[in-house]
Amino acid sequence: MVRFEGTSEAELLKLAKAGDESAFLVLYDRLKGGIFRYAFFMTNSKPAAEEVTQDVFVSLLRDAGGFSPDLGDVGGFAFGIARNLVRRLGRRERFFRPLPACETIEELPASLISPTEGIAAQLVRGEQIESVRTAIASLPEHYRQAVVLCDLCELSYAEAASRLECAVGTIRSRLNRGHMLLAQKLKPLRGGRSEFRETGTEGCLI
Amino acid sequence: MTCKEFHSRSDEYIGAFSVNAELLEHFRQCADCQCVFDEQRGLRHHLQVVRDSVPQIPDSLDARVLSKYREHVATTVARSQQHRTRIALMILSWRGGVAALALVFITFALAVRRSGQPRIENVQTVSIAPKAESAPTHEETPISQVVTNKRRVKNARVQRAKPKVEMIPSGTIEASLPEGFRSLMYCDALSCPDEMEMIRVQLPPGFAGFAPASNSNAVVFADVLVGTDGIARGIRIVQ
Repeated sequence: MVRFEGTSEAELLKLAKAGDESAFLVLYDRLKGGIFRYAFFMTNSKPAAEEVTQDVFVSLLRDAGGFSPDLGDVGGFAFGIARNLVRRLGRRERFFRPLPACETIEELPASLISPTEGIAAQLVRGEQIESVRTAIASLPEHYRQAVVLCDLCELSYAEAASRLECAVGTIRSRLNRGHMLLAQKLKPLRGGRSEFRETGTEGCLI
Repeated sequence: MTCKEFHSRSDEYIGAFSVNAELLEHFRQCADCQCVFDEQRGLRHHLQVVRDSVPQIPDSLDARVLSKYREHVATTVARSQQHRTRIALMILSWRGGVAALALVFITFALAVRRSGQPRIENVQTVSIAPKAESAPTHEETPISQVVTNKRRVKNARVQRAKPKVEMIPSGTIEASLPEGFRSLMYCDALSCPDEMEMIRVQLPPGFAGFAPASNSNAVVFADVLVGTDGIARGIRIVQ
């Protein structure tokens, strides 16, 4: 893996296409995090995110001929594939309403749950996360894309603009508008949280 | 600070770790701006929590992707081998086709050429005897030019070296050839000093008017006298 340290993603893709497995693994390690994160926040579903991530890499190998280094980097190309797959998934599953996730707490990474944090706090945090995810998922697509890319995938405005093929100003305005909408949707949550803190019912629950 | 100033730099203020005094002063006067500020800060906190809540990528996904990759590579390699074999076969068949075509073409060309060229039937060596050593008249000079006598040839060469050139009438040339032969080329002691060969050839139908008028497609045989220099000197139609 060390031999690929300075190698560009385009070169890695070429090697992977030629059958170099270690090159493919390096490329996969570089790209999988961003793609999975994007797919997860866009679909609000872990299995869907896994499916999208897998399909992105399969498509990347199959359609690598369509990639041109002059038009952008491999990350952007893979992101384009992921975006199309997410859209297709959205169209396919728009008639189904997801059941309330029961395993929200189980899905939380261990780093988010401190040993001193009680069950109630975990529940509250889980509920809060679920509410925010649902609120993000309910945003119109172009606002959701901007929020997911800039706030959750931590891309810069310029990177997000290049991924979405629009101007930086457009990203800023979409992000601003998305934030407004999200704040409106999360108003009950904020109110609930302040009440919760003020009354101190956390102690009663335990 | 005005509301406009706050809104134009709200991103900076919301992202900042602490609230500056000027902003606090503005919030005391404008509840709306404070409300927006609180909302956006709360939202930023929520988004931070959600960002950190992204689940780990399961190992099963890595294994699945890797197996898909191996499957793809195996399929591609097999396909490329098939493709290569197909191309090699195609090239081979093309080469074979071209070779066969070339063979057919060459055979055809040879056949055409053979039918168009005079065919040599047999070769005989004919010795053309010089005429009797009678006193050569001025008209009979060519007869002396086909003699085999070395001394005469030498003399002839010496004569040729002399600036004096004798003009020989064409009618006298044929006299040096055997009977029935028509002259094709000038023939004297210098140009055809030795014996000549007689070759029987088959002429193409209608060749240079040699065919009989009754049947222009009839095969014509002819005897050709060829000198030692390979030049035809006379021709005689046989049939």
